[in-house]
Amino acid sequence: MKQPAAGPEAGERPEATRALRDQILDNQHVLDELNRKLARKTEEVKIIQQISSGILATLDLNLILKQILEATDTLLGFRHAMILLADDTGESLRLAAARGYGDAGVGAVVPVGVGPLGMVARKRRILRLGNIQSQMAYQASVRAKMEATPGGAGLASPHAMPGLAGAQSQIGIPLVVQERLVGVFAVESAAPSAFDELDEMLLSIVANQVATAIANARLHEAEKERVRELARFNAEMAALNETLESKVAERTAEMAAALETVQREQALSANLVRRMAPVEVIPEMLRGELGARRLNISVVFTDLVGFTSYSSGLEPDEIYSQLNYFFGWAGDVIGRYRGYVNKTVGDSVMALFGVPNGNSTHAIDAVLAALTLQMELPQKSPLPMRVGVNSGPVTTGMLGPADKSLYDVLGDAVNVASRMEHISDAGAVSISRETYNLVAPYFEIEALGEQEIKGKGRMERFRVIGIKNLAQDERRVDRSSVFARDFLPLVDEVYAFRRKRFPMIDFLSVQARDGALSHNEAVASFALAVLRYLKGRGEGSAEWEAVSEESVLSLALLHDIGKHAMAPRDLNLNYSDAASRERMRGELLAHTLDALRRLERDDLLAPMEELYRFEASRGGDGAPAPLVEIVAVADIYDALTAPKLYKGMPWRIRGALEELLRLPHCLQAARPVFGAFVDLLKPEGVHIAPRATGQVLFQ
Amino acid sequence: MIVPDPIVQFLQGPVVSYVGTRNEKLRPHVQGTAGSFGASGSDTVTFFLPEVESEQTLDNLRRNGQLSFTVADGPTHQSFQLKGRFKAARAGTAAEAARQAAYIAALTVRLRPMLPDEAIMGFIFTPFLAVTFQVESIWDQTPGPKAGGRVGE
Amino acid sequence: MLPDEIKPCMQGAIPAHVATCSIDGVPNATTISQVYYVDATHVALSNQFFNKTVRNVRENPYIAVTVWSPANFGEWLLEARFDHAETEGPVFDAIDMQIEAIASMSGLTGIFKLKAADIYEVLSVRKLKNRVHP
Repeated sequence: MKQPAAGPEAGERPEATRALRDQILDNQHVLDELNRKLARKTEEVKIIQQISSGILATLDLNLILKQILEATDTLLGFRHAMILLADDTGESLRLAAARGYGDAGVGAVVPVGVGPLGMVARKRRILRLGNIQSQMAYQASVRAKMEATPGGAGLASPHAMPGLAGAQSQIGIPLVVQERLVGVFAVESAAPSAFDELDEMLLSIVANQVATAIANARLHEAEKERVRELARFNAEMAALNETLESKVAERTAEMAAALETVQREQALSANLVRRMAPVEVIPEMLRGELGARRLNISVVFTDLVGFTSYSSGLEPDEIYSQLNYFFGWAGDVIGRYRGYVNKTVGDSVMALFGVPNGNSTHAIDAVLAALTLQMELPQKSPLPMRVGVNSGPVTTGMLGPADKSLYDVLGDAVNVASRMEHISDAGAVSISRETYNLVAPYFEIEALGEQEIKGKGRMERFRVIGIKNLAQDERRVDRSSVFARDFLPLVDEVYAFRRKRFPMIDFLSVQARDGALSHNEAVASFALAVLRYLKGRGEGSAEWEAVSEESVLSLALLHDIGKHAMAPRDLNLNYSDAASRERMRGELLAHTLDALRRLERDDLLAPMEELYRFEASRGGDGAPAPLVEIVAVADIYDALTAPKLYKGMPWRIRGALEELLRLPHCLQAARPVFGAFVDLLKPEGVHIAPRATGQVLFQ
Repeated sequence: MIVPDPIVQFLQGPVVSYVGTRNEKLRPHVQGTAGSFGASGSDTVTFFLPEVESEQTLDNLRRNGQLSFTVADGPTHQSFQLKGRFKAARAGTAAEAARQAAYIAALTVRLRPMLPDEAIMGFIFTPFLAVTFQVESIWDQTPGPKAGGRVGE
Repeated sequence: MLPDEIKPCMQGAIPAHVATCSIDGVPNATTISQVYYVDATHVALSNQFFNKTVRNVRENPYIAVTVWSPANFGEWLLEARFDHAETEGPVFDAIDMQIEAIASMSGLTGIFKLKAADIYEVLSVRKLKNRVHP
């Protein structure tokens, strides 16, 4: 502090001026103090910037830690410092780097929660201590006293900590990145009260940089590893795909010249963009953000048998016109079942189901599309066709040189699909074991045994005959039941009715949205059977006479036709809470009523609403109209027994019938309709009693 | 009460000591002391109170006489508190001054592991008053299971 | 009221002496390991055991405390009045963490459990003139 100048001048000044001088000098003292603090702070902020830029320039973790501690010593003057890193479990810290400790304990482990550094890790806040040794001595003597008293044993054992022996002062700072603790940064001193708040602040700033650098270095390592792994995977895929690629290249070379003009013209239209990738991912693709993905999908290959020799006698423009007509129709069918035409090669079509985002119905959709193609082909081409289907994991993404990259797939599953097509009989839909596993409950399928495939060894082959007929479907109909013995022929009536009255509706593609294949036809068949059964028995015949077969069939066939307007994703969710389920049902009803209006079947509006209400209220709303009740019981039964994508195992027939009787809708079999239904469907000689408990039992 | 011999020995050793008093408004006060002694079989203890900064302590003692005298050993944390009544204060004798000097030297050595010499040597111990008080109760202040317990006669 | 200069005295480097007085006028003087700096007008004492100091303060809230600077060994005398006890919050957490940090090393977790942080309002503070070199 500056002393006021002594001497004659000072003594001669009047009182007032002297007081003023003293005041100025006092203020000067305060100003000096502040300036010193500010200078220190400025200098040290500069130093920190230096440290930070040094740290962030490298991504090697060990190097970083060394540099930090060196800078903390030489630039900031903290001679003893260490960095501990948290392990993956988050339960202990490991000493990763130390400075000023000689050879001491790198690798030493500190449990979280023990000691000052362990507490910093546990509480994730800074801890500054100035009296460690004194405190420990104090506690040690207490501990000794406690151990000396009777019953004083049983204290936890003390822990040895890494760091300065005899450290009195310490600052520990948690290193946290994105809510995760990555470690602790600490400085120590043998002197007591060696650190103050300013030291805390400085080191906090450095610690932030340290934490970020550690996190970045780790990310960098993880990223490098991921890139290595991806390169390995792609190399494997590329090797496997070689054969297909060469075949494709061969065919492409043949048609390349001829197709070039066509492609150039189409490049001018907006259609070009749509051809590059499935419509759902075009926005991402245009942003350059469409990356590679792994997906489980189904792949369909078709091939016209004998096309080359057939077309050799035709003029070029006739070939193209016929082929494009064929492709137009095939693309339509594929699109109807939500497939994506990946490419056409010569007269072949390669279609993908389940791209670009994956779904649960891809195998069913692929097989349905394949069956439909074979079924409608005779009207579209004079030649027969082979179709092969396989399901499995692939990678998808944009492939090709920069200006010609297209959405494509890579994977062995693609090769297998192609092989399936090669070995398929003309006119048949051949599927692999993988596809079979996914679609078996829904289709009638013939196993064709194993076959030798070039480059693949022996593979199983299956041929899809068609959708499971109600009569063949053991899950829905027991062979010994009254329905199977006496009422099966009415199934054909139902299909005939459907074709005649509702030819404009593609029931199959609507049902495919949630895999409820032939559900509407089954409900109609059951409902019609119950109606005839009741009329035949003459029970309560007056009310049943009033019900027309036409209305039963129509209500049954159209009862959930609103599915056509709903997203398959919503239809296939397994709703765990009643509220969401109700919402979904409400939407379905709304779309169904809408369809009824457009079909000019306003007479079905009220019964349809009553049907939904009856099913939702679980019978709580009182007795429904007979028409509604018949369709309801058939619908509930088919829902229980038919295979569904989002439910687990379907009920066995006996269990389903017992459950039917237990449902509140049924009032303990007091409803004759439910009882009649059970009589019709139950296996012969079996007595069905309402289930005592609500538990689901699979027999 | 008669001060037991072990405690007399203890308070004559190189222990840290201080005296607590209070004023008429029951406001407490504390001051460090430097040296003390008793006698076997006696119920009084005398401590040396440095005169610098002693005004409040003396005023409290004269007005109500209540005091609490605490002695503590640095390294072991063993500590006793003697409560009692002020009897007299007078200037220290030459012999007592010598006793105090020896005490300071011994204390410095005793506390060396914890404090440097200048920590203790810098204090102004003289001139001092020899303050005598009558012991009414003794308490064990050593941290641990027996802390706060009364020491019997 | 508390100058920056006193902060190093409050890191527990040198034990402090605290005096209290019961409601019937009997003084009590003990050693405590640390007085904690809360802000310019408050300090805290850790309340771990229900001892005479705590008992006195609940009857008669005034205390006198001396602390020493580990830098220059100057002695400071504070007079303060008990304001309130905290069993949670930043002050409590900070003190609890410090205590636990050492206790866990000594195998004494739970023994020194912080019951409360007793917050005192500082009424006066001054540096004593009892040293040769102030």
